[in-house]
Amino acid sequence: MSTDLAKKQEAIANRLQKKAEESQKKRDDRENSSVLLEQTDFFHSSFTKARKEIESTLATSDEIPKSKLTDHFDAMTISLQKMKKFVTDSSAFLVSYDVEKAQQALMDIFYAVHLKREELIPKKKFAFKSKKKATSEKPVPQTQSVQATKPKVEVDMTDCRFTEQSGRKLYKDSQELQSKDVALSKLTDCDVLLDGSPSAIHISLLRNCRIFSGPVSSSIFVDDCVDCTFVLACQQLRIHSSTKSNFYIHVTSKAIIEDCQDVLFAPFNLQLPLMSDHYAISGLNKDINNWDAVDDFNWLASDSPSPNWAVIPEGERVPSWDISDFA
Amino acid sequence: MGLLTILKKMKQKEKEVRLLMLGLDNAGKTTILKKFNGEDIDTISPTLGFNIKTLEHRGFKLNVWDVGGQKSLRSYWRNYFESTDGLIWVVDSADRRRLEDTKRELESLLLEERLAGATLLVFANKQDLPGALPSKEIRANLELDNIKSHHWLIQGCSAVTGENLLEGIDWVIDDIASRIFTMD
Repeated sequence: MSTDLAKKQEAIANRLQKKAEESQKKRDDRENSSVLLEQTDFFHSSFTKARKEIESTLATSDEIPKSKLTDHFDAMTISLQKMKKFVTDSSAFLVSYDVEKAQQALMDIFYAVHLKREELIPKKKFAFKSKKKATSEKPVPQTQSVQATKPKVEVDMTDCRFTEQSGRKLYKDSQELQSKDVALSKLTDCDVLLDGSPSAIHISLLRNCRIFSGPVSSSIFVDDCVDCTFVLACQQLRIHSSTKSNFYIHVTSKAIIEDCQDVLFAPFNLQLPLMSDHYAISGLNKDINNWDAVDDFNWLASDSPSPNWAVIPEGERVPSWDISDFA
Repeated sequence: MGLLTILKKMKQKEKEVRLLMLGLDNAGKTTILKKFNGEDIDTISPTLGFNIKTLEHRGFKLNVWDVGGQKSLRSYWRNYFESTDGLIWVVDSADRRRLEDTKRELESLLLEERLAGATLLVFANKQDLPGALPSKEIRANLELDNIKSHHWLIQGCSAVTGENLLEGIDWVIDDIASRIFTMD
C-alpha cells in the first residue's frame, strides 16, 4: 500500500516538474522570438531607411554639377557597401527569405547606381582589370548575363589533319606528326597510317575506315565512328557514340566508352619500323597495357559486365597488319 | 563551447576556399589538379565520378572538386554547386569540334543560381599542342565578354607543362579573397 502511495506521489511530482519546465520553455521561446522580432524589425526599418536615402540621392544625380559627380557616386557606393555589410551581419538572425530579398534589393540598387554612373560619367568604363571597382559595381542582375548574339567565329580544324575523303590511303610520317595534335574527320572507306608519335588525336565521323597510329603521348578521342578498325597506342582513350568497331589498343591508363555498342577490344599489335623510337618520344610505358580494362560510362553496375563491349577471342584477332602499301 | 573555441572555428573557416572544376571530358581537369598538386600525371584515367583534393596554397585552404566531364556525368554536376566560391571551367583548346558544346555547357552553368556568387576562371588548356587555339580565340568563341554576372578571367595554360596554372589559381584566390575575406 505504501509503495503505491509513494509511486503516486512520485508521478505527481514528475508531472508538476514537467509542467513547470514546459511553461518555462514557452516563456523562453516567447522571449526569444520577441527579441528576434525586435531585431528583424530593426533590420527592416534600418534597411528601408538606408535604401530610401540612397534612392533619393540617386534621384538627384541629374542636378549634381559635373565636377562633383565622382564624389557623388563614390559616396553612394560606400553607402551601398555599408548596407551590404549590414545585411551580411544581420544574416545571423534573419530568415533566409529575408536575406535573399535584401540581397536582391541591394543588387537592384547597385545596378541602378551603376547605370546612372555609366550614363553621367561615360568615360569611366567598367573595366575588369581594376579589381576594386569591379567588386563594387559587379552585381548586374543575372537574367541579363548570357546573351548569344555575336556572329559565331569560324573555327577551322587543326593543320595536321585528314578530312572529308573517301576511298583513300592516307599517310603522315613521323616528322609531320612529331608532338602534333591530329584531327581525323568525315572519312569514308579510308585507311590512315600515322607513322610517328603525335601528341593527341581527335577522331570523328568515320565510316568503314582503318586507322593505324604509333604511340600517342596523351589522349585519343573517338566520336561517332561506325564499322571501323583502330590500331592505337596512347595514354587515355575515350570512345563516344560509336558502333560495330574494333580496337587493337595499348592504353597505359584506361579506355572508356560512352553511348557505344558492339565495340570490341584486343591488344595492340602494330609493327612499324621505327616503333621503339616513337615509344621513346611518346614516353609511354611499353610494359603497362590495360587494353581490356574498359570503363563503360553507361554501365555503372560493377556486378555484371557491360553488354556494350567485349574482348575479341584470341583466335579471331587479326594477327598482323599489312601496312606496306602506304605511301 | 567557449568563446575562444568559436573564434578558433571561425578563423579556421575563414581562409577556406571551395573551387569546383568542370568542363567537357578530355579537357584535362584531373591533370590540372594533379599537376598543381605536384603529383604524377602519366597514370590518370578518365574520371568516373569525382576527385576531391585539399591543398594549402598561400595560406589558403583550397578544397578543389574535380568532377568527371563525360556526357553521362554532367547531370550530376549540380550536386556539387552548393557553396562554391570559384568555378574553374576547363577547355581543351585543341578540340575545335566541340567548342560549341563547351560554350553551351558553360552558359547553362552561369545561369545556375547556386553558382551566382562564384568567381569564374576559364582555363584554355593544352596550349602545348600546336593545334590549340590561343586563349583570345577561345574567349571569342565562348563569348566570354558577354558575361556580366560573374567576375571572370581566361587563362591559357598547359596542364602537361604546368605553364600558367599558378597564375590562374592565384587570380581566383585573389578575386575570392577580395570578395569574402576583406569585408571589414
